[in-house]
Amino acid sequence: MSQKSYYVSAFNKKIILSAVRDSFKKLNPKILVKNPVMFVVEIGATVTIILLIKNLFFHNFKFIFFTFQITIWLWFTVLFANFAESISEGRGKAQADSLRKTKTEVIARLLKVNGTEEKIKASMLRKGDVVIAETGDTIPADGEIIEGIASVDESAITGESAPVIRESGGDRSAVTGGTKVLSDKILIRITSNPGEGFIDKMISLVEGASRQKTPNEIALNILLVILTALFLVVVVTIEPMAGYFHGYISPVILVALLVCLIPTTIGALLSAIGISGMDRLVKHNVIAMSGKAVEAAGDVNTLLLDKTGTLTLGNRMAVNFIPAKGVDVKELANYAQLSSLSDETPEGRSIVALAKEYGLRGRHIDEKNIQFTPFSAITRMSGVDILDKKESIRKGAVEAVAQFAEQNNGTVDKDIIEKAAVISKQGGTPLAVAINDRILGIIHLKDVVKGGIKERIKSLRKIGIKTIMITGDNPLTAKAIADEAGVDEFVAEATPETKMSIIEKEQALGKLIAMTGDGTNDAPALAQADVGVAMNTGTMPAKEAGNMIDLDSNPTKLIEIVEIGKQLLITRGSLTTFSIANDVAKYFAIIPAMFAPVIPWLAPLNIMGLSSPQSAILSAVIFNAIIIIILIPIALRGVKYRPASASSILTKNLLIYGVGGIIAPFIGIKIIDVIITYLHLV
Amino acid sequence: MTVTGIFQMIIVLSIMVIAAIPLSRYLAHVFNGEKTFFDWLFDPVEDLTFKFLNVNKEEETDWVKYLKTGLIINFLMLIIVYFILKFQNYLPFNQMHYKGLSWDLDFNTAISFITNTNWQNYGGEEALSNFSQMALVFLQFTSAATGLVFAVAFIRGLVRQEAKHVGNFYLDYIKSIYRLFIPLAVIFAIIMLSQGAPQTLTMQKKVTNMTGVKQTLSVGPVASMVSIENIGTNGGGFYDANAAQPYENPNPFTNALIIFMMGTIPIALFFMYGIMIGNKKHAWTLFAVAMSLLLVCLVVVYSQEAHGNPFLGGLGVNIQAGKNNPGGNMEGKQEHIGIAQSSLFAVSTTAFTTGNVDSAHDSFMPLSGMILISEMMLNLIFGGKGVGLLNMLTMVIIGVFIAGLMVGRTPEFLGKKIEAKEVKLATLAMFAHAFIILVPFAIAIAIPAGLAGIFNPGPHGLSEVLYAYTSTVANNGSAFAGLNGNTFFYNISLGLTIFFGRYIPIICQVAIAGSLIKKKSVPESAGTFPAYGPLFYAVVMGTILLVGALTFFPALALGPVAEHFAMVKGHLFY
Repeated sequence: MSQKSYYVSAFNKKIILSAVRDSFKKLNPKILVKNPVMFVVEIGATVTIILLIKNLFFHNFKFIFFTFQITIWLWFTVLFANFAESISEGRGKAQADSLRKTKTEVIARLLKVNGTEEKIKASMLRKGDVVIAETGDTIPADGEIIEGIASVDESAITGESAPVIRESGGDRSAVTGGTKVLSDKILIRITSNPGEGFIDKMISLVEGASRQKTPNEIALNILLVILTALFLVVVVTIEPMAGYFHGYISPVILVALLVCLIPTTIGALLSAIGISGMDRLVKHNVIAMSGKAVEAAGDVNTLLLDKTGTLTLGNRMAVNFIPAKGVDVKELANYAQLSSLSDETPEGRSIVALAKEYGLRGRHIDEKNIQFTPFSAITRMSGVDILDKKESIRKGAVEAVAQFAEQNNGTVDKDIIEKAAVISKQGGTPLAVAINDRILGIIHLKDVVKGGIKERIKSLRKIGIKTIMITGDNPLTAKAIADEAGVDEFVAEATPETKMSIIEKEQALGKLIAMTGDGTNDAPALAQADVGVAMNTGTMPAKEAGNMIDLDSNPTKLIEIVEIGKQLLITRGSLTTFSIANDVAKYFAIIPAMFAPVIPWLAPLNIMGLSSPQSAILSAVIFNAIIIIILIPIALRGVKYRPASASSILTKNLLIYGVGGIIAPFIGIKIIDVIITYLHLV
Repeated sequence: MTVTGIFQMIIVLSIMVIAAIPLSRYLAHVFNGEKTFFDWLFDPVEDLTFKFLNVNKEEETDWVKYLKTGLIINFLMLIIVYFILKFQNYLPFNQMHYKGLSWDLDFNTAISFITNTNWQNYGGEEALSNFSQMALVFLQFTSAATGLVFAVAFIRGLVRQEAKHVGNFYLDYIKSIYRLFIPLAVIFAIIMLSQGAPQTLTMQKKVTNMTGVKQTLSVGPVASMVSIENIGTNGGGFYDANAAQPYENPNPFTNALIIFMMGTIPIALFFMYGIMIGNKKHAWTLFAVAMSLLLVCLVVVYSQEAHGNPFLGGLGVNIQAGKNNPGGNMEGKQEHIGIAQSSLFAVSTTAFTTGNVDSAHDSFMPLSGMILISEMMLNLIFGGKGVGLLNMLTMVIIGVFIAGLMVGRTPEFLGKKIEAKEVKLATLAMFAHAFIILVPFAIAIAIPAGLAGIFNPGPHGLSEVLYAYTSTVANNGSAFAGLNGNTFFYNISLGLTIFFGRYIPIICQVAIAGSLIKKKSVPESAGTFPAYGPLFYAVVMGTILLVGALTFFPALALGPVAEHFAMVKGHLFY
């Protein structure tokens, strides 16, 4: 699946430059107040500026250089946070721009009620209008084909250059504005008003314009705000404590301590994490209608998977040749291949491929000497006549081929009929091969499970997700495929209503369900499911009912969507843990430094051996600022995620971000202290 | 540290845990409304009470009404006791004609007892009539029951699914008093009586002692008060000196017995919680968290006390334990109780938020003092009646929220989703606890009215004030000594910290129950991390230590930690 996607790397020059510009714009308190943690930092940085100016007037030069540096780094802290957000938004904006390019003004051919045609601007079209589109026309707006069939180039949205067939009626009648008709003529009933079309929706989604905080993000924000308030109390009460010892602590130092303690790291990266989570979906050519849907994907307990197209390739493939009594397998393979040479269906090609395993390759045939009989629904077989040898080879439904052999005065071995019946029972499809009066054997065709599916299902089980396969097949066939794919449950002989009833049953148990769908009859289930992924090839009702759209129309992607949802939450949790764990080291840096002039006995708490009180405080502030920059790539990329049980994921992340979060700043602060002491910055 | 000392501790703690197991089963039956062995006795009495109160015991209410009922009853009792103390000179059993308390002391005392705190700015035997003492004993029953039933409501919030009602406040309240506190109080009062604690309505007795000196002994209904003050983890003793007074704590056996009384029910509540939610492994994990915290505290305190003050050692004082020398730090401890039992008592009274003391915490080594303060700052090492469990579960919710995100799901606790509302309430409870300790403490050390009460200079003085505010907010009630609390400023400010320290977290916690009870419980899967076992232990423990340390590090650093380092350098504060 190598195809173009709208994904743009965050680290290109243009995005970085515009992110830097935006970081300054976002210093505007009106914007920053939406991020309470960073807003507190901004207030603190403003306070230190005021103190800096005051010191200048009072000629308190000894303290000025230190105050100046603290102030600079506090502003850097805010800027770094703004930069993190801007850069994640920048990528979305770039993606939106490339989409916007597809939205040039189109002239639509409006079909009036009286049957005449009028050319108008696409932006004047309204819901319900009927337009004509012919070879070479760009479809002016989202709509539904009411007449005709056409091949359409949808690369503008999907990035896939191969054209797709769209036709009136059924599940392939939806067309999207901005795509191009490559052949034929269609009548389209417009289904969206200008500015409300699919591309417009996509643009606003990737741009983050319609981004709302997700439930978990809101909860986490509350935690961060209350932690900030808590540390504010802690810091404010330090001044009277110093006063008790007849000491005085400069507000600059108190601000420095406050900024170090409040969860600036996660506060700075929180929205970047959310935005880039949505982005990762775009990278996979999935558009989520809301961030909530992405989060819900991480929570999913049950996946509802269609058999055909999702678990299996959707085509039956030859897997085995079963020769009749007295026939060599090679002979059967030979004639099976011969009969399928002109058969361009996937089944036919798979027979040719299977026969190659018997050394039958590079076959040359004299075209003049050969006559093909194509498959027809009436004869239920296809084949080839080799004229000079007078050989009539036929391949097809067992009964049809048996009849053919009998017509040629042959007899049909009962054994072969029984073998065919066994294959049917196992859920496979038997094809008989005959040459003139002789039945050579059976080709075993089977619905083949996609490569790697079994492993995917297994890893889903590891993370506690149950898979249910849905199929219209009979229970025997269904069971065979279910066993092969390794799904937990299957429902055979399903009707369109089955999905809905399964979803309702699982939801009643408190579970969250994800499913994919494309047909109009999937729409109610897509709407009911917690995560409903509509295929882009699907109908408009299906797309409207789902909360995600897969532009590649690849149902297997559901599994990736779940992983992206999980990764988003994991990244948030891990960086929160890291941010809070960092505070331990900062205390050990700042508290002894802060009280050094007041209570000299606390010196043993300076376990890092920082060179001076001022360098200790400055080092902690610098560490606090640059850790934001260091973590931006993790925020954008997401924490590494490999499917495993919750316990092992938690253990790993607790060790890396919890224990690591305690240790890392001890090392980082010490290194910074050594550097600034060496540079005589304090 | 001596082998006997360590054995004493192990034996007392083991007996507590063993006794807690059957008790927890009994309690779970009581609050689940199941049959118990004693129904024949309690059912008729309860029915009579409900008939008298005109309460339908079948009728359950939502969390708001449950909470409101509890708070109103608390408030009414507060008013009644306030007036009893105020007008005790007009009331019976006051042969000594003690006057009514000043309004600020009365305010402080009434709030202190209604909230299970039992901070005492008065000396019992010199300020209160026996009637007043018995009014306080009444509150020692009801305040313990109040905390307990709110915990029960919380547990129901976890157990019930898509429900609304958390229970019937009156039913739970009366049941816990009738079926738990009264029977145990009677039994232990009799044991205390047998050990020599007085029980009489006389207030003073004049005697001639063995050396022929005439002496006045303060007596009263002591045994009954000692019994409920510890069973209910109240801690307010009959005498000023609490369990350091021989009538309240006559011998080493009663000392161990008091520890047993303090700890057994709080431990049993953890187990009861496990039975009620049907997940004993989870409860045992939380037990392990609390117990290991308790043991760490105990090890630090005992080793510090047994080691003694190196500075005194340097001056030539023999601080080594020997045959006729207990060694270590004996300052402020009873000779007949000794270092090991005093250490265990001090660690227990702060862990189980009782507040009863048998030695002067003020005289403990600086790091021991820090441990005792820290235990109350955490306020969840089993804790007082119900609230210890509630505080533990609040921390669990915060920990599970962050850890839950780290496994890539909306965090769940026992299958119930932890969302914005629960996070808000849990962190608010945590924030309120810290705010109510730190802000009044900072005010007290900044204004002359606060500084006036401090006895010792330097970091030790700071610890005295910090201890007072921590003890009151944690509803512990033990005092560090050294701080003169019976001043207008301290009576009012400590009264307020007790009040808010008690009710704000409880309101938040019951509200969490009200929110959780509406939710469906999602069955556990490989995608949710188990709420038991070493990993869960690490999550909860990590959250407790991190939140606790980050909140209180500066205050502790300037108080006990600074004092410790100063002592090492040879500076003492006296």
